[in-house]
Amino acid sequence: MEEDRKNSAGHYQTLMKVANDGIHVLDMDGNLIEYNEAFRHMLGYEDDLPLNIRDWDVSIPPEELPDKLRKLAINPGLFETRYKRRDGSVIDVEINAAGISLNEKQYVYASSRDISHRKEVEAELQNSKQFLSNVFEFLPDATFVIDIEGKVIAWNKAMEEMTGVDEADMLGKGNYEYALTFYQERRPILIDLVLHPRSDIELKYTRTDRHNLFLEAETHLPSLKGKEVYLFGKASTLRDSKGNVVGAIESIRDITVEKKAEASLRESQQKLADIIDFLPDATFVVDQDNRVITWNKAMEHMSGVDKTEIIGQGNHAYSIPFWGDRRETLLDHLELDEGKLASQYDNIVRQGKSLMAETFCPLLRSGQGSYIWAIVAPLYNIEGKHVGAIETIRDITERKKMEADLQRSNQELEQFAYVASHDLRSPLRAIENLSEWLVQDLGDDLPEESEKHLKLMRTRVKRMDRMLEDLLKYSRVGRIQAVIEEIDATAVVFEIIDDQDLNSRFKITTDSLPAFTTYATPFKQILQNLIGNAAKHHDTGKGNIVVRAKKLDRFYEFSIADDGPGIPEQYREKVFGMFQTLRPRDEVEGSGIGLALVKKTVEHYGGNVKLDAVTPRGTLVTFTWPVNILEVEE
Amino acid sequence: MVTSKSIRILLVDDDEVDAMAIKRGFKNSKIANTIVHARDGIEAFEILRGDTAEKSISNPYVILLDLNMPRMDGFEFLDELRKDPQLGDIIVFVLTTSKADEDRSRSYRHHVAGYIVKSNAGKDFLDLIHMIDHYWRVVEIP
Repeated sequence: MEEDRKNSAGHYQTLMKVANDGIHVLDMDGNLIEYNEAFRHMLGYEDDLPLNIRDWDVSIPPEELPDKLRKLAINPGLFETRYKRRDGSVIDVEINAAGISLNEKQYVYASSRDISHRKEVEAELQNSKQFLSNVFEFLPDATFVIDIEGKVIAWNKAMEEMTGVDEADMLGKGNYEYALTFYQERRPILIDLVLHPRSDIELKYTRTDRHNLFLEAETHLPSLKGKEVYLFGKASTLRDSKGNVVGAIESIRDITVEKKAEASLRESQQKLADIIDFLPDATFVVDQDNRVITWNKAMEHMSGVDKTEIIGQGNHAYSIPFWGDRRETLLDHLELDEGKLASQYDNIVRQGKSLMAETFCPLLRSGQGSYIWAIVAPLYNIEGKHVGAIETIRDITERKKMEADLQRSNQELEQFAYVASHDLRSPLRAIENLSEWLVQDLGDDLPEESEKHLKLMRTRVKRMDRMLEDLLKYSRVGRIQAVIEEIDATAVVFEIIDDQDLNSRFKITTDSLPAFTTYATPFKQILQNLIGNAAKHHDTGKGNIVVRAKKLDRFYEFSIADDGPGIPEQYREKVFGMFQTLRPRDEVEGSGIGLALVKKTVEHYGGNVKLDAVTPRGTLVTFTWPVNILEVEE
Repeated sequence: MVTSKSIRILLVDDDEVDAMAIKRGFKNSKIANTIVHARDGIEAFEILRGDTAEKSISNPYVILLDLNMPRMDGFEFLDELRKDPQLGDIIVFVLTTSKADEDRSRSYRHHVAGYIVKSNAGKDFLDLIHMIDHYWRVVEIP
């Protein structure tokens, strides 16, 4: 028995020696009774180990120790505490303790294990979990995670905001609880498709995109928290370290704003394309690499080239229908100076950033050739970057022809008026001469009635002569280069008054009339006609005539006011017409050309003329005349 | 000495009535100078060069020239006249219906002695006649 006990004590000693754990035995006061090597190493002592647990345990308050030991003696326990080593460092320790009785005395047997390393790993794990959780919460995209059974195990802030459902109300919920927030029904959604693919569900999305590691999809919800939204989702399976699928994660982004902007951009692009297509003028657009990106209907018609054949073509493809080869056209010369363009184009006009020109393209209209007018402008994006150019081409062949016809017919007309008024006046003068000779030769033998007839005949002859003379003047406006003279408009007015012998009947006032250099003959002609009219059409035969002038920017504005009967408003346009008179010529002699002549002359020199009323009565004629006649383009 | 009465007038005008008006005006004004009437430039040259037996004119004389005429008009006549070494220095008055500036300046470039617009018959015309009459009273003719 003693042998057995000795043996068993020996075994016990051996066990203590080989155990990795720090084994020690304490009495109920915490005094160290026995310990092994591992324990001594654990605390970092040689042979001078402290005598009481209070010397190394820094976790258990000393006053609680007896109680703690008593409890352990009755109920064995596993707990964690902290030891202070000899060098002052502190380690985490896990203790497995139980009561033992030796020689009727109660002891506590404790096996302690250094768990500092495990503690560190645990802390790190805790840290990284916290970190992940922070990241997850912080994600701007609404994100949630389900486990393999479909239960929600994470639901971030952004998700709460998007759905209005709190994390607390969602965590642990399965059976497609999350689908309710989006679709108001329990059914698989994107996150489920990565775990259990289903083509019928996939088809419910506007667009799905399957990548190696994840699945993307877009969808349109008529109502999410009461608002129509477009959502973009991305889902992926989650695997553990062994590669087993343990769940899935989905991120959802609200792309409503982008979608709507995209839609409105598409809409406006489409609208623009429709507008360009609809334009009556042949129009095309190129991008910054000079590739055709728009080619409208009118362009198809003009060039004979279908848009499908040319869209996307670069390298001057657009010049082929016009010139037969790939070459630089107006569009390529936006930056070039006009002089260099003159060999290929006429009437080159630059207006801001756009360039206009005319040319003849022999290939158009099935080889008949067309005169075309083109305008090109560079296109810029919103940042001001050059992104291409637009060119519009108009076939002006008809206009050119009409212009030539018009010019010819104008020339013929002027020639006609000139010749007619010349040649028609000769017989008139003969008639006048002959009628006068009749009166002279017959003398008293001429019956009174016949003399009256001859007199009437001569007034008609005079009238016709006057009309022909005015017609001639009219036809010559602008055709004859007048002479530049220095004139004083005040003196001109008084010359006219003298010539027309108006002094006795009219009070003439002049106000601020300029002295300047101009084409004297047409200018005097205008004043003659207008002052003459004021006097001639005055119903009482006497009154006031006021001639004023004021300087506008590049024109003088002359006005002639009378106190005659005035011209009713409805006739104020009409009286500028040829041969228009408001009263019978037998009452007021006139060719009816005077005002037409004034209008044609004034407009020829870039001015305008208009009629107004004067209060209380009278006519106001206003016309403008260039300050510097040499600046006027004829 | 050349007297005004001995000066003859070659009237070149296609219009019979215009010619009558001149002759009548001279007669009425008791101006008795001989008037020879040519109907256009061609006939005028025939007379001046003695190519026709029907009409003739002898020095001294002046020409009253209309501009608008058939066959050879006034300017063509002046062109040829000024090139002719024998006839180049003849005094010419242009007598025309044209008030056109370019007709007037073109005439003066041909060294005409005066550009007279045929105005209406009557007093104006008489003034013209008297002017011509007066002209050769005071002007020495080559």
